Amino acid sequence: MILFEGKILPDEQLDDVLEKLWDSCLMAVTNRKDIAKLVINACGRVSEKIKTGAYDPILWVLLEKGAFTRTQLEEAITFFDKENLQLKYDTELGVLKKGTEDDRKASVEKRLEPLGILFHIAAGNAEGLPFFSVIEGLLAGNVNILKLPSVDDGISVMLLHEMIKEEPALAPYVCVLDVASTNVKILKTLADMADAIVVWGGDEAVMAARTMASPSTQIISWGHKLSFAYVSAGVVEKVEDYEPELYDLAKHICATNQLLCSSCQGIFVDTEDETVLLSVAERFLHILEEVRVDYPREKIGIRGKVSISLYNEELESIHTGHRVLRGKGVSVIIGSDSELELSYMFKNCWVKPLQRKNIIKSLKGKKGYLQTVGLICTEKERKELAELFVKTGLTHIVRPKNMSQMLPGGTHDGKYPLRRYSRIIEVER
Amino acid sequence: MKSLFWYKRPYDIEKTETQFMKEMRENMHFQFENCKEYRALLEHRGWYEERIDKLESVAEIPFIPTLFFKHHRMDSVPREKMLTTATSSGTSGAKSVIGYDVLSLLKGLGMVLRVGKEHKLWSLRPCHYIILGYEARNILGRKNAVEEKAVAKTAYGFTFFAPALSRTYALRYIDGDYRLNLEEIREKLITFSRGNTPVRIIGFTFHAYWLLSKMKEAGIKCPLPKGSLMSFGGGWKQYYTQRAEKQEMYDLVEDVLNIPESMCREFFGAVEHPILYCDCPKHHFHVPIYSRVLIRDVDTYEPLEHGKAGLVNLLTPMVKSAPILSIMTDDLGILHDGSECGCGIDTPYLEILGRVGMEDITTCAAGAENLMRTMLGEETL
Repeated sequence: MILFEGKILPDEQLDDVLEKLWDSCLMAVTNRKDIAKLVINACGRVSEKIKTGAYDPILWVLLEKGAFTRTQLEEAITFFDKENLQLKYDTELGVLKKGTEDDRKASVEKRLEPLGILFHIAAGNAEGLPFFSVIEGLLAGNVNILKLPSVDDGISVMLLHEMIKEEPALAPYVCVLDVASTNVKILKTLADMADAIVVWGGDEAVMAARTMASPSTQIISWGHKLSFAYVSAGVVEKVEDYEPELYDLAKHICATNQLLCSSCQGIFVDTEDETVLLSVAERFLHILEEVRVDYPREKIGIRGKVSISLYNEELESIHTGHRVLRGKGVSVIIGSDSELELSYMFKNCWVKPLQRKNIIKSLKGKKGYLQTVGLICTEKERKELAELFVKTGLTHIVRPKNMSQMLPGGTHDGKYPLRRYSRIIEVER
Repeated sequence: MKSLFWYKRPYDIEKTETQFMKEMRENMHFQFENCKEYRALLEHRGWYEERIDKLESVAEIPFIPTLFFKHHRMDSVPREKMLTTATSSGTSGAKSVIGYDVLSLLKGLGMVLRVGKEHKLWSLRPCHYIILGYEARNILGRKNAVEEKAVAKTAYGFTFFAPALSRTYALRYIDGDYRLNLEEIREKLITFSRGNTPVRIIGFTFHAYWLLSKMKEAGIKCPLPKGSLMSFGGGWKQYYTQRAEKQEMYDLVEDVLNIPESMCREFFGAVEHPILYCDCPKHHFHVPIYSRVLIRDVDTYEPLEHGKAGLVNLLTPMVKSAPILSIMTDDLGILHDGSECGCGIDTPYLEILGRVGMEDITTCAAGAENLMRTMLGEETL
């Protein structure tokens, strides 16, 4: 599916669109205006319509397919409410946009401007992420070219199309193309048009974007991150009192399937006692098993993959000393090292020891990959532990139930995207 | 019976069942006694040597995932006795290395002779070979020899089914590296299409598919002389989506090279399971007497009945030099009743559905990560 100049076109017209795209982008840049208000209003109206069920006939297919639930959709769409987008805009750009009294008097005018043309390469792990990425580009005033992920369900195109219908003036600022990831030639052409490539994904995705980009094209990456939970020494003494937090964590693991950057991959426990580690692991396994029942079962391919990995982990345990605790559709692997690593995902996590005194030493090496910690600690420990985790480079220190919660006006991995999509120019008066 | 691998009829499972079990038991004893690591793995899973003689079904033998071989090289004979080693063409960096001793290779020879005969691969008529794969460097390399990809050896092996007048490789070894040589291949095909000598093309499925579609796109047709043969194997990787695409491949071969579908052979095998599976006229991979396939439940590992999808467990007593008697691939597959095929071979046949996990998983990285892989892939090509 293609979205070009506000119209949905079939993929067969790709060559045609590519031919016109550069001129169309140049035209949009030439006629560029401050569109933030238009974007906020249009998104607000789309969001309202979703809530009142106006798009249900279209969304029904996706809901039926189980791509997401009604609640998830409603939660996500609140993000695009007029108030929330305005808050996001004000938080990220407001101060810079206004400037100070001194700035206004100076002989050189300082002003916030968009980067120009953004080429978004979005990942397919979260529904609607491509839409989200483009909206951020638009809020900063950019012209946006979006390459859809291969697994896209069409919701991003649909939402962008509806937004443009609400505000046709935005049409020149958005172009969505369904180009295969293997079509390097076209991707390079698109990359050459852009002032910056916005890439969502892991190290390999970012490297791929780098090989595509000429040295003069900026790469703005939203890379692969790792998140985990931490059980403090105070909690270890009385784990049974903290079961609600463990249930929250299990729900978070089941709801995100550990696929998001903010998803918990495993639990670090402040202990060096193996029996403590085992008892936390066993307790959590039962909770996870109990919670899992409320979530859909994985497809056979995923189950097969996890199954082989766990079996292999059992064989490897001769060397690693790891212990695999299996439950129905879930597992917990007890490790003896304190290495932060990716789990097998899909409701399979690890439990490892990490004493408070080793937190910085152990996590510092993971720079660039750290994102969220779900803290399970006594209220007395919270402040100090949080400060310690801040120093490792983590950007979100929250309670387990909020690990994947996104707040309006919040950051991506500790950064404000709208600022990354803008530049400050100086014009002599 | 002397050995399973020199038995005349490669699909007569009924007559060879007892011999298969006997050789499996012997192999398991041998691995237990000669491969410390294998012994440790089995003991860890509650096995002891005396249990081998009580073995009633091969399903009881603990399987080792191919994933494990990618991180551990396991030998059951001293390395100086290995005549050659084979390395998988692993895409994710880690590769399996399996060593072969002379006895295992001789068994392999017996198998290749019989299977080749059954599928009419042998011919006395000389032909030109085009290998859409790696040029073999040292075929029986000893101790210090560079390990090389198993596919190179397999492809080289095939060039003995009929006397070779010439061998042209798509990936040639030049100055310490493999370089793609498609221009030469295309020219050779054009030249050969003007002569009378049959041509045999051998290669990776996706290389063949790629080359032929490029030729079709460019409007190049090279009708090859009668008796020419197209054989391919090695998985479909990202191109793999069932029969529809297989048919597309046959159509492409017929269209560009004028080789009929009946002269197309597909092979299946793995470094960790070096049994020659050759497709029947109906393009099914029937299980030969040297091998057994168990489809196991993805959750419980219990063997499933025919017709159900699960994990593919491959078993063979062929190799002494490494404990690969029961390996678990990372494929999903179905074993069908032989009678469903109708080609005349009555052993069950294996249908590979694809890699576990791949299609469904979308992590933070997935979407864009594929891009990298394919980009790098294209650039190496």
